[in-house]
Amino acid sequence: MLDDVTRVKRLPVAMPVAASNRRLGRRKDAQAESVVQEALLAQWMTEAFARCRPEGVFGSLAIVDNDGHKVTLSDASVIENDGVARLLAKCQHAWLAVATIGPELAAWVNQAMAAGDGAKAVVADAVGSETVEAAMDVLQSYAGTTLRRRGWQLSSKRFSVGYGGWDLSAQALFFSWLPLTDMGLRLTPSAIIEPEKTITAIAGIRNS
Amino acid sequence: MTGDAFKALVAEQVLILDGATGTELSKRGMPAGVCPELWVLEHPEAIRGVQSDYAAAGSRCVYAPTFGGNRCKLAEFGREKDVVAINRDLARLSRAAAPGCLIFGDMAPTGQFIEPVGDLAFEDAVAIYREQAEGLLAGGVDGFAIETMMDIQETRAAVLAVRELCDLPIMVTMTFEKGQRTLTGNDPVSALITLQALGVSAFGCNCSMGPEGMLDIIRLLKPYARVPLIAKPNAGLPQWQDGRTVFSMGAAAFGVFGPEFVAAGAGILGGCCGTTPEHIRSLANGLAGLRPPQIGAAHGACVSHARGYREVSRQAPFAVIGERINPTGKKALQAELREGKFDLVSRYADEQIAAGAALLDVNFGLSGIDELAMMREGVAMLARDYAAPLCVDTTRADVAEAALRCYPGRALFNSISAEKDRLEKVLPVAAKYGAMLVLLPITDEGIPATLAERIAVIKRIFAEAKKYGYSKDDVCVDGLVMTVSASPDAAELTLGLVEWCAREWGVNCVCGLSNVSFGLPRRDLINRAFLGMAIGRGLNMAIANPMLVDIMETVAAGDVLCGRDVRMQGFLGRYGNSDGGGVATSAAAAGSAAALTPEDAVRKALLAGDVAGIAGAISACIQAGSSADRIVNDILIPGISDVGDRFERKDFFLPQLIMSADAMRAGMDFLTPLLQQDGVAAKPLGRMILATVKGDIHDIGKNIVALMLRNYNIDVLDLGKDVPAELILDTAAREDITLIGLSALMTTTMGEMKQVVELAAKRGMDKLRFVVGGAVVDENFAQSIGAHYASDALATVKIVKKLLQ
Repeated sequence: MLDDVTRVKRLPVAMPVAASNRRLGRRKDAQAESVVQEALLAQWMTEAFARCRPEGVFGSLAIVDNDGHKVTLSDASVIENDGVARLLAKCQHAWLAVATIGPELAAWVNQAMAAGDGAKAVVADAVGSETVEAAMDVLQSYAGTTLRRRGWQLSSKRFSVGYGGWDLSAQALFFSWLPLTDMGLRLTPSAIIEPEKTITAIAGIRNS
Repeated sequence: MTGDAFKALVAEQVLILDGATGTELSKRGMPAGVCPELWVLEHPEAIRGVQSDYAAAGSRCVYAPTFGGNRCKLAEFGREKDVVAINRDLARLSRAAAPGCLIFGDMAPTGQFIEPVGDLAFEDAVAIYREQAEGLLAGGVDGFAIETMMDIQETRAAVLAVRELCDLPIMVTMTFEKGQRTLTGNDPVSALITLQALGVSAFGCNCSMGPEGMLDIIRLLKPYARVPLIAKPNAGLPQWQDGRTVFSMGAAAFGVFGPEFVAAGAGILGGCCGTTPEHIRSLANGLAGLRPPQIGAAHGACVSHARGYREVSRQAPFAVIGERINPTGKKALQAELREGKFDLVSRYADEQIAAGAALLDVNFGLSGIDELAMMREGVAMLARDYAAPLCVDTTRADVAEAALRCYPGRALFNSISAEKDRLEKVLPVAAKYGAMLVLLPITDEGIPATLAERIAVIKRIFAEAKKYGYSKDDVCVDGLVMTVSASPDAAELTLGLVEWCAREWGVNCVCGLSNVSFGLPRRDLINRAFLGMAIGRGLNMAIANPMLVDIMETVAAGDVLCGRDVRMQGFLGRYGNSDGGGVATSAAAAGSAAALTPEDAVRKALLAGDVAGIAGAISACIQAGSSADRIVNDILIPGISDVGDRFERKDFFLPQLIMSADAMRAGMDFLTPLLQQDGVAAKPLGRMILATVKGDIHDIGKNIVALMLRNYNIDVLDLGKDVPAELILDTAAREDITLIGLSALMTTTMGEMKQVVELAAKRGMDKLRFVVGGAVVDENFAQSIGAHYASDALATVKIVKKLLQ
C-alpha cells in the first residue's frame, strides 16, 4: 500500500445533467415529446443520482524509469503501455487514483432492466457513468490544487486501465497500491473491478 | 489585539495584507520539496527579508510562515511532535521581521478530509488546529488567518479551535474554483453566512483565481456580509511555460484592481500565488486615500447548510419549516428511532424538501431513546444527504451543543424562552455556534396571558441574546399559537403578537400552525384560514407539514399578495401551466390530447413513449371504427419508423427511442389478441443469440439492444455478460441459431470477439453470422474479424432484420 493515501469518502459532485444528456445523445435544444416524458426523464435522473455515492482514493509513487514504452515505479511495479509512458514523460511521480459510485446504482439499473424498463435503465446508467467521471475530476482537481501549493504540477490528462490498449490485468496493481478492498471494491477473475461504475486513473506529477 | 480593536481598525482603513510567501522564499534559496516551516527556522534571514519587504511595500498585516504548521503536515517531515514550538518560533520570527505590522498566525488545510467527506473526526480536526493555535498564541500573534480552506467543516474546526482558546480576531479566506465553489462543494455565500455567525472577524477568498474572477465573488458576498470582506487573489491565472508554472499579471496591472475591490465591497486586500512585494506596493499606491467600504448586509436573516443558504427575512418568500421529523404523535417514527434507525427520517426529509419546505425541523425528544446520540447522528445524516438548512429543536443544552457543533452551516434554533434554564444554559450554546434563534414567550411561571405580557417577555429574552451579539436579524419570535377551542381569543392574541413583531418591532415571526385547530373537526379549514390571516398580519415563517397542499398553496398565493415573490416567478413556476383551476400540467396535457383525433392520439402516444397510455388510445381508436390491422399497418409501423428517423437525425435521443419502442410493444401486446381473432398475428422474424464477451461486465448496451430487438418482434436468447466463446457457440449449436450478436465496451475485451469468430471457424460453424457492437468497436474492426457492425441499438435492429430475411 502507498504511504500517502488520501481517501475521500464523499466526493462533492453535482448531478451531471448536461453530461448525461450528451452521453445519451440528446441535443442541447431537444424537447421531449410530452410534459410527462420530460418529467419522467428528469425523475429518473434524480432517482439515479440519489443512488450514487461518489467516493475516491489516491496516492503517488516515484517513477524510477520510463523508456517511452515501459514505466517502472518505485515499488518495482511496471506499466507497459505507450500511452501511459507518454503521459508520464518528464514526470517524477505517478498519481494513482480510483473513483467509484458504489454498488447501489448498478443494482437499480439491473432491476430496471429486468423489469423491462430499458429507458429508465439507460438514463440511470448514463448518470452513473458521468457521476463517476465527475468524481474523478474532483479528485484530480483536489490533488492538483494541493500539489501545486507544494511546488508540483499534476497533469490535467489522465489514463485509465482498459483504454488505449492498457491491459485489464493492470487493475490488480491498483488493489496493491490503494485500499480498494476497504472501499468495498472487488477484482473479478477477469480483472474487472466491481461495482461496475468504478474507474482507475493514472496521471503525471512533475516539478513546477 | 481584541476583536473590537480589529473591527475599529478595518472600519478606518483598507487593511493591506502581504503577498505570496512560498515563491519569495524560493527566490531566497528554498529548494522544492522541503518543509517550508523547518527551512525558515533554519534560514531566518529569508523570512526576515520577505516580510520586511512586504512591510516596506505597504503591508499592514503579514502572516507568520506557518501555513503547513499543523500536525498532519509536519508529520510528513517527522516533526509532528514539535507543533507548538515550531509555530511559536515562527510567529516570533515574523514579529521581529516586521515590527510595525500586525502578525497573524497562518493556519491552512490539514490535507485530511473531515467526516463525512473523509475519515478525520471533527473533534480530531479541532484538536489539530487547537495545538497549532496554542503555538501561535505563545509566539504572540495579533490574530489568526485561516486561509486557502476548501471545506466548510474543516474551516469551522479551525475557527472553533481558535475561539475556544482566545478572542483574537480571525480572518478566514476560502479557495473557490471556477464554478464559484470550493473543491468540496461549498459556495461563498453559504460559507460567509455560516462563518460570520460563528464569529469570524472577516471573510473572503484567496488563491485559485486572479483579481477579475475574485471580484465577482466579492460582489456576490457583499449583500450578505456583516463582517469585512477579504480578497487575496493570485497574480492572474497560472500558465505552464518552459516547464514551469508562471503567473502572468504584472505588479502595475494587479494594483489597478485595488479600487475595484473596494468598490465591490472588500476592505482587506493582499495577494496570493505569484504576487510579490512589488504587487503589494502597486496595490497600496492604488488604494491611497480610499476609505474601506461600509459593512451592513442588505439581506437580513439567513440560515445555511454546507452547500446552500436560505434567506428567512420578511422580504424573502415565506419559509415553511417542515415539521415531520419529530416523533411526537408518530408511532412509526417512534418505533424506528427506538431501534436506532433513520429510514423514516430520510423519507420525511425527501418528501418535505420535494414539497417545498425551506428548512427541516429536527426533534428527537422521545422517552426511551438517547436524544443526544440520536440528534448528533440525525443531524450529521441530514446535513450530509440533504440540501436544506436545519432547525434544531430541543430543550436540552447538551443536545443543542451536540447538534450545533457538528452542523456544517448556520442552523435555526428552536427555541429560547425566558425560562431560567434556557437563558442560562441553552442560550450560550446556541450563541457559541451562531444559530439563529426562535424566541418563545414563555417564562418559568408559564405562558403570559396578555399581548403586553408576551411582548415584555420577548423583549427580555432578546435583551439577554443581545449580550451575545444577537441583532434583530438573528432572531424570530414564536407567535405561540394556542387552541381556539379552549380559548376563543387565542388566535387573535397570536395574530396581535405577529403584527407587533412585523409592523412595530421589526423582527421575523414564526408559528407552529396546527395547535390552533386542536379538538375541532376539519382542522385543515381552520389551519388554512389562520395561516392566511397570519400572513396578512406579517407572519413570514411557519412550522408546518409541507405535504399539505392547501398550506403550500396558501403560502404561494400569500407571497404573491405580499409582494415577496419577485415577478411572481415562484407562483408562475409552480402554477404557470395550470388551467386556472389549480390543476397542473398533466391536466393541461390531457386537455390538448383530447383535441386530437383517435388515430393521432395513438401516434402521439407512440412518439411520446407513453407505455401506460397507448392501450387506452388504441382502444378509443378501435371504438371509433379502426381495425386492429389498420392501426398496426397505418399508425404503429409508420410511427415507429418515424421514431427511428428522428433518432437517426438526432431529434430523438436514446431514452426516447427506447420509450417509443416500449410503447410499440405495449400497443402490440394490446392488439395481438385482436389480430389473432382476425388471423393476422405476426410471427417472430427470427432468433438470435446476444452476449457480452468474456472479460467484460458492461452489459447495459447489450441489454438495450436485446430490448429493442424484442420490441421489433425478434426472438432473442440473451446469454448475459462475461460469456466464454465456448458457451456462445455451444448454445448456437444446441438451439440451431445462426445469428450471434456480440458486445464489448473496452479495447482490452473487444479482442475476445475475434476469439469467438475464430473458434466458430475452427469448429466449422460456417453458417454463423456475427453482428458486433460496443463503445470501442468500429466498422474496420468488424470487417477485420468477418462480422457485421452495428453502431447502436436501432442500427442493430436494421441489420438483424436484413440478415433474418
